[in-house]
Amino acid sequence: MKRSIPHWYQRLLLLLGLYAFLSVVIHAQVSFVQITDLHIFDDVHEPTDNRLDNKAALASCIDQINQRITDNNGVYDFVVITGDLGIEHFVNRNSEENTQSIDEKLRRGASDFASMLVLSKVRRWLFVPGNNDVPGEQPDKVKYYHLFIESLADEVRKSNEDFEIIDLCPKENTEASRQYDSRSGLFRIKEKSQYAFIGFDNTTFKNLDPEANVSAFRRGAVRRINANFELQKKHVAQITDLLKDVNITYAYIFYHIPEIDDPHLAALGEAEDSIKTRNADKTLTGDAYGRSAWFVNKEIRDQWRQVVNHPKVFGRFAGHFHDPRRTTYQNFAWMTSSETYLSDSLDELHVCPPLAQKFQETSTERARGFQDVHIDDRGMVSTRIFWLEGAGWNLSADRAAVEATSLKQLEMGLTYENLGRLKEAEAAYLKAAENDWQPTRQKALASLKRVVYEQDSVRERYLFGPMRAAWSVGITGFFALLPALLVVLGIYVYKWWRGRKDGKYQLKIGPIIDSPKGEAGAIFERVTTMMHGRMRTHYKRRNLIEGEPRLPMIASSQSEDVPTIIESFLPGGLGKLMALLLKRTESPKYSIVGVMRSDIFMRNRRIFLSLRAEGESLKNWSVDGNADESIGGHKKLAYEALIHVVRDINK
Amino acid sequence: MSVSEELLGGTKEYDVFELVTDALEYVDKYEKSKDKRLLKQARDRLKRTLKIDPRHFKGRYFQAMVYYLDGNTKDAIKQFNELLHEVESKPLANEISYNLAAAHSEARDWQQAINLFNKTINNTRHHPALNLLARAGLVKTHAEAKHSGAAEYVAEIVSEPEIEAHYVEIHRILSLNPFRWLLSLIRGKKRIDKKVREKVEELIADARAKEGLKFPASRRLPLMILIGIILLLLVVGIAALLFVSYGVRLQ
Repeated sequence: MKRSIPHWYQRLLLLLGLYAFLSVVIHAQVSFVQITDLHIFDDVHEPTDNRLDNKAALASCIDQINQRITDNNGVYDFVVITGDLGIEHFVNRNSEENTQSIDEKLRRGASDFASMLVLSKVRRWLFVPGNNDVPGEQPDKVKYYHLFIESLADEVRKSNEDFEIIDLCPKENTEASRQYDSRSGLFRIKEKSQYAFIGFDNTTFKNLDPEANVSAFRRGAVRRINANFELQKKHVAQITDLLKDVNITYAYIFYHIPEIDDPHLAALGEAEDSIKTRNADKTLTGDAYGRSAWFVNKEIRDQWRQVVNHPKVFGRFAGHFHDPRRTTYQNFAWMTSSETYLSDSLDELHVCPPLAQKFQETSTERARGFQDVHIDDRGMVSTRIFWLEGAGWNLSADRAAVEATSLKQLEMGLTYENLGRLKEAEAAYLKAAENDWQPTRQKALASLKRVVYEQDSVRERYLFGPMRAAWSVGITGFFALLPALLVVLGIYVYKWWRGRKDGKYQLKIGPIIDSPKGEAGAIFERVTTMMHGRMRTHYKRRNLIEGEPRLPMIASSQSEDVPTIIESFLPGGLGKLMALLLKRTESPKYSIVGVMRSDIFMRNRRIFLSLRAEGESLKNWSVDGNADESIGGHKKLAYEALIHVVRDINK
Repeated sequence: MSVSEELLGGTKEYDVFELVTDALEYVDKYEKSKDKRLLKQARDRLKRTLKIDPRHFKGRYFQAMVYYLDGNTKDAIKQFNELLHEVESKPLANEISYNLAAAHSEARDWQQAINLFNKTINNTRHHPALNLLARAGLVKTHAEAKHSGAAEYVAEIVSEPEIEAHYVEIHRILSLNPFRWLLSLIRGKKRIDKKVREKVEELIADARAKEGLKFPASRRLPLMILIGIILLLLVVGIAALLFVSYGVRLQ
């Protein structure tokens, strides 16, 4: 007995196959916007006050983010502000001020800021502090930042319950540490929990000398390095601890001051006081970091390196700089000691340009903007900066050109795909994928994958492909033959019309069959034709202009040649088709057929002649005659038959 | 009785048919050679025809024609008059009327000729060829009458403006009308037969010469221009066809 696969097993296989065919692995992806250094509260230096301008830039930035969401039908998961709102402005660092007054100023500032944030379509805003949010960059003064963020959260909730303000550097449990402090916080998107966003408070990492103006060579900075060492070490260690969470696959760190060279310091010569001060403390900070924005103990930097090199860390986002040169933020080639930071994986560091006008008022080039960030399903980060130019926001020229080309190619690819021209679609999608902006690139790659699959699929290879090719050839052939077919059709219609019109005047002579020799019949046919010619002479138009009877035309004389000529003139099947159609149009109404019978001596002959009209007998003649008189007899008989036709035509 | 019946009448007899056909062939040859002996032969055949069948219509009609061609206008008029009274077909009656008018003109009976031509013109509004011949016959008769000194006499029958109107109408019919030309092309029928056209042109040229060229001449569109227009249309048509064909292939 033949064994067959069980029915349920076949069905299971089919379902598995269908699942494999239809299922598309949907990976989570994250998009967000980074804004930094807003300085909406503190950007005031006599005689310049940029605060209004900075607020206008923030409002415009929010509007641009909203516009992008509308235009691209996209979603940003959150907006992160990496410090320097300018909160320190609410606290007078040189005089004692009562707490109630500071709280009130912070609340008013938060309310003012909240009124702008609530206009955003993005309902989740993340914050880390900047050094200008902590008065005097003194660690315990971070409490004003916390107070501000709490007030901000309260204020936005008044307008919208769903609006989230998330402090990524919340306050530390001060009782345990016996000192007011912040700690690294962690944020995860509920449905994308493999991505972790960690805040890092490095507002003290400049280790600013509080009395630097007094003397260039004061050792205040060094004192700060040592004083803040433990705190800074703790903050870095907090990140390492958070990364131990097994649920985290990809981690991203938000902080204010980047660890790389400060462009301001990088531009200074060795003889400058600031550089001299720093060089004096090389043993403490490390040889290669004399121009770094971080002025920290080298142990902190070593500890940080472990964070940077951690396999879960895929990106770091910072701000702080106010350099007016855009290249400062686009690459790090400007650094004097870039090799020093290579091991720190500069590729994963993304420094956002400031939104504020601070320190750029007098420069011809300006670098103000926000960073559009996309994290793909493999955790890889791609960023692009939208620059504030006048009242608008633009990508850099080269990036805008690449993006425009990609979008155009995507559109072309889609058009080709819809037309079934998969090869062309593939080429267009491939071109569109030459873009390092991940969302566009992914869209192109997904489309590319689709068309490649389509081309390789069995149905495409063996069904749709050949069908399309056949259709294409058929259409081309049809339109190439169309003029010829139209001509053939035109001739056919004309001949059909003429045939209908003239057919009723046409006469077919023969066959006249005779026996036993077969000559007399042919002779009679010839005599009839001659008699027809005689009638033409008789009835031809002379002085009589109208009224002559219409004569029949002998069909055989003209109908057979025309299809033959057409067949030899038109090539191939077209000629045969035309000849066939023309033959069909020829249908004489009248015909003369007959039979002749001679006796054995060929002397007496009997003729039976039949005149037919449209297949029906019109008149019959049965004549006996002497063979010697046959021509005269034939003429009379032919005349009688023909005159009968003439009468019938003209009746 | 229809036209054809009248013309076919009596042709049941094969011998009659052969005799009339012979006579017609002699008349045809005469028209080419103008040899009067051929008319004699024709007359002989027709005489034999009418012996067999005295009422044979076509035989009698062509006998009248032969009389006319032979200059025997008296017998021609008599014969045509008899036929005119017998014939029932209106188109044939118009033709006989025209021939009778021509015979009267030949006999210098101007009044009869002009009246018959006028009658023919009035009865052939829808028969352009015969109408054209009748008009040409009328202007020719008018010119000859004037030329022969009967100007005052004919002026009472037909006025100069009427004659001029006939000239204008003749030119109008002879001139090219693209619509009518196309129509005749589609129908496969010539509106005005070439022989008729030539005959008319000959008649009016003769009449104009006798009138001292005071009436307008024909203004026919030169043939070369006509051929040029047709060629241009053909080229445009082929170009359009090629363009459409090439355009479709490009797509």
